[in-house]
Amino acid sequence: MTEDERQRADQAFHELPVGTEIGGIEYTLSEERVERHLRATHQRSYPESGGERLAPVSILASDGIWLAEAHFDISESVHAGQRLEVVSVPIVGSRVRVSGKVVDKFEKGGRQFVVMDVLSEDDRGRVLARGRMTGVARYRPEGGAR
Amino acid sequence: MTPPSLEAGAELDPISRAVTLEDMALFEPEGERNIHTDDEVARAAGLPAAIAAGVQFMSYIFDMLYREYGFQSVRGTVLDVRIREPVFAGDTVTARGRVTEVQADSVSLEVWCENQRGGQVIAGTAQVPIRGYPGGVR
Repeated sequence: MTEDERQRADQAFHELPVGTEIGGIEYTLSEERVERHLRATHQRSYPESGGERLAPVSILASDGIWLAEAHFDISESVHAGQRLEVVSVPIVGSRVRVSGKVVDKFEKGGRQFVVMDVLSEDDRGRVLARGRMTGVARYRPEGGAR
Repeated sequence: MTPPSLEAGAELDPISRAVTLEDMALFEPEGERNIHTDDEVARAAGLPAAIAAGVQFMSYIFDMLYREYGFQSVRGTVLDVRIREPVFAGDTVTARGRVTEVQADSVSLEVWCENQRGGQVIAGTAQVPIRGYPGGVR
């Protein structure tokens, strides 16, 4: 990051209001995505339910990161903490929508931390998970991919 | 079937995994090149090598809880962790849990993942609903 970019990021952080809604991202919980997660984490699949394949709930723990990545520079990747409440077990093949809100921000050790509440829902209108993540994140008001 | 741990002080069966760079890359979106997948990118960011994403180890804890308390207890589980030490490819990470309190319909635990040196990688608490006793899948 150049000095100019850093100054703009600092300004954006200081001007970022707590309560800012973070626009949603969406993804399909495809077979491939679930298989990849199962292999990465050495988990076994849950039993099927009503003829539908279920995804491990741990896959939802990354939702806040994907959401943050869409609006913040998180390349320093100092992820300080995460809370996840599992509301429903995700179904393979469903579409997941993730939205969030900035609930706090603070500076510590020269780094800018953002605390964000995260909500994951599926295309059947079910809440899948509620989360809260804390991490170093430089706000990019323009959004877009890193 | 071994009944799940429902007494304060009881320790859950740990889960231990050797973390590989392949696991770390699989945890990220396909083709992603970042500090979690690429040593070169990590070094450019001031790290000695690629580090695993902290949430990767939340998966180990979720898996440990699922094995202990069964599928019926997955929904409603709350996991709250702080991410502490970085994990590098080649480290062995073990998920552990200890029951701290048993309520009528749920169990509270302290949970953590530690590396082969005994350092805590992530640590926090879990609240698990008790349903379908004795539904463990160990």
